[in-house]
Amino acid sequence: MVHFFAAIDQFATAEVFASILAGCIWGTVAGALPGMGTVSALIVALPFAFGMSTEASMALFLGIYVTSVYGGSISAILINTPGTPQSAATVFDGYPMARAGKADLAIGWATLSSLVGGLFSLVVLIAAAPALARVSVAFGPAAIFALILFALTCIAWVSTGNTVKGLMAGMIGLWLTTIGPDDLTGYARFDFGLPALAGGLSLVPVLIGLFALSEVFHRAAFYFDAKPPEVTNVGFRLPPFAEITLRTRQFAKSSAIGTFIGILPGTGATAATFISYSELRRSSPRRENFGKGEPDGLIASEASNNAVTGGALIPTLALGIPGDGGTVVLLGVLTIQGIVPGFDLVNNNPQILTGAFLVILFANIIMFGLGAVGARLFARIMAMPEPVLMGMILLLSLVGAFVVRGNSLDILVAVVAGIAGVLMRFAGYPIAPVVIGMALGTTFEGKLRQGLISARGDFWDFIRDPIALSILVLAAIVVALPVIRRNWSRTVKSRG
Amino acid sequence: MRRKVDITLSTLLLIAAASFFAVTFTDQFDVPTFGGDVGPAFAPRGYLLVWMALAATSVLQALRERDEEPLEVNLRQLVSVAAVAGATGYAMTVVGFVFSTVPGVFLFCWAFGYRKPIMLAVLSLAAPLTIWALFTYVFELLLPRSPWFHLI
Repeated sequence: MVHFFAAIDQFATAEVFASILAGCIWGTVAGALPGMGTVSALIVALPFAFGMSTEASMALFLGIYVTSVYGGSISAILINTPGTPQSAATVFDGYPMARAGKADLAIGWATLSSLVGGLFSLVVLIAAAPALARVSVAFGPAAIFALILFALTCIAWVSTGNTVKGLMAGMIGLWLTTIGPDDLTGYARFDFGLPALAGGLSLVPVLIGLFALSEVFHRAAFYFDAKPPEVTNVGFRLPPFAEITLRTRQFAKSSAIGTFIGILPGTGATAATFISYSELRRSSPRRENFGKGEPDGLIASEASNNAVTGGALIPTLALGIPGDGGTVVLLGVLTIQGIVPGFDLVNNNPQILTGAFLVILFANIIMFGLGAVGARLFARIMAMPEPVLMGMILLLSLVGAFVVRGNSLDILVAVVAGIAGVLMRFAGYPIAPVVIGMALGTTFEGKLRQGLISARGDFWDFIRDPIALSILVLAAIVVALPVIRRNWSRTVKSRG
Repeated sequence: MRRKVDITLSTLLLIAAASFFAVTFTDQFDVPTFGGDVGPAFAPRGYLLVWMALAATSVLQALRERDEEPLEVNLRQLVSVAAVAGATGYAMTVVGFVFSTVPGVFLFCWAFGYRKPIMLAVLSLAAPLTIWALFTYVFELLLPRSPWFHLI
């Protein structure tokens, strides 16, 4: 309770309220704009983090993070194009509902489902994050090394597309962290005699290039005409109370699926949405209406994708291990503000953690309000010319790359990463594992070497640590499970 | 197209990994270690070995794949947009933020296919100047400056 009042004291300022509101408006708008997505929305706002207080920047970025997922549902419902990949399943029932002249009701269901999913995962986050952070004190270098290995394995394994490419992208990210001075010996690595590389690469310019600039270039490759999308039947109508209570089970199930999947590194809201949608299509008493404008379909998609936000923040805030591009940016913002996630955040800055919970609560409430009053306005913004939008993203991306260190080289790093990113997209390489590898690489190598020094070079010591061993076994299961399952189904098939 | 890009990129990644792996055997990495430490070459060698194995697998996978339907890609637009973005980024390091982004935003949106010159002129002046003023006077963070003026 002491932390609660301390957090209120610290966060109840006009600057913080203005930042949450700005974050929620930008998040919803960016989510609604097809192609922007959560990571690009966060990256565009990144330059502003440098001129803001800790509380205000947390409010801004958590506001964007929470609402950008919801924003994607607006374009999914109105123009049959999900604003974010997380809202892809919203199209299945949202658009048919809109075509039947009930777009306002569809937005009502999506907004309500997003609110329920967001609040459900917030409750889990409040309960789990501090407890997990306290447990993490028992984690020695070996256990942290194993934990990061597990996270990277999961991320690469569930990467969209190809597992081999996902793993390789993760390796590239890890290798990029070895450019520059070695933390233990101070010797420069892979600087090729260039003074510009002697200090190493900063994560933010690479992140900006790989996500925001590569998205800009990718859209340029597929942009042919300037016709704005046709938008009709816009508005907001809350479903009848009886209809809502009838679907309590669906709300609970989708929220739980989203929260759980969010906790797993690398899985993300897109996977959660499709798992939740297929589960509800299997178990709902109204399953025959799925795909024809059934509210259960909207609940499945929207409650689960918003529930992922709280779930994904659990390992990010409790252990400092981000699960996707969005949480990498959030982790970057915390680092810029000098906050170390994990035990330090829970024990030394509990009011900041409590403040973050309050911000997420307010962001969810504001998101609901914005959906109720702003749906018509967001629909108009969706008609903004794409080249202008992309021009603004380019401008803010270049500023963001520069202000991190005030280093002009970082602007060029971002552009090069952007070109590399678009090539990776064309060749089917996932991008998220590169930045997650980069975000975790320094700690990964550091803990490995610290562990070996304390074990006097004995690798087996890693296996003698029970926590590390359990996590390594888990990582091995994650790698082996699909292979075992494939072989098992082959055996079953061959036996007829 | 995707198959060709895949083969090219995977091969380039394989060559890059092999080259970086060779670098780890140069004098730069020949550093004495102490007290059980594996030294600064251990982790990069591990990453690069796995990277090489995966890149080789990826090349083989790409070679085995069938060619898909050709994608309709606006290659000219992609190249021109990337070139303008690169030139704007480079110019920013030489002539500063304002002098590079005002023409940069104009050319970028034009290369992207936007054809309303008056609107574009207003936008490409207003957006960079607003951002410059916001960072210089509100956040008090200096953006890249030109060699000719103190703040711009």
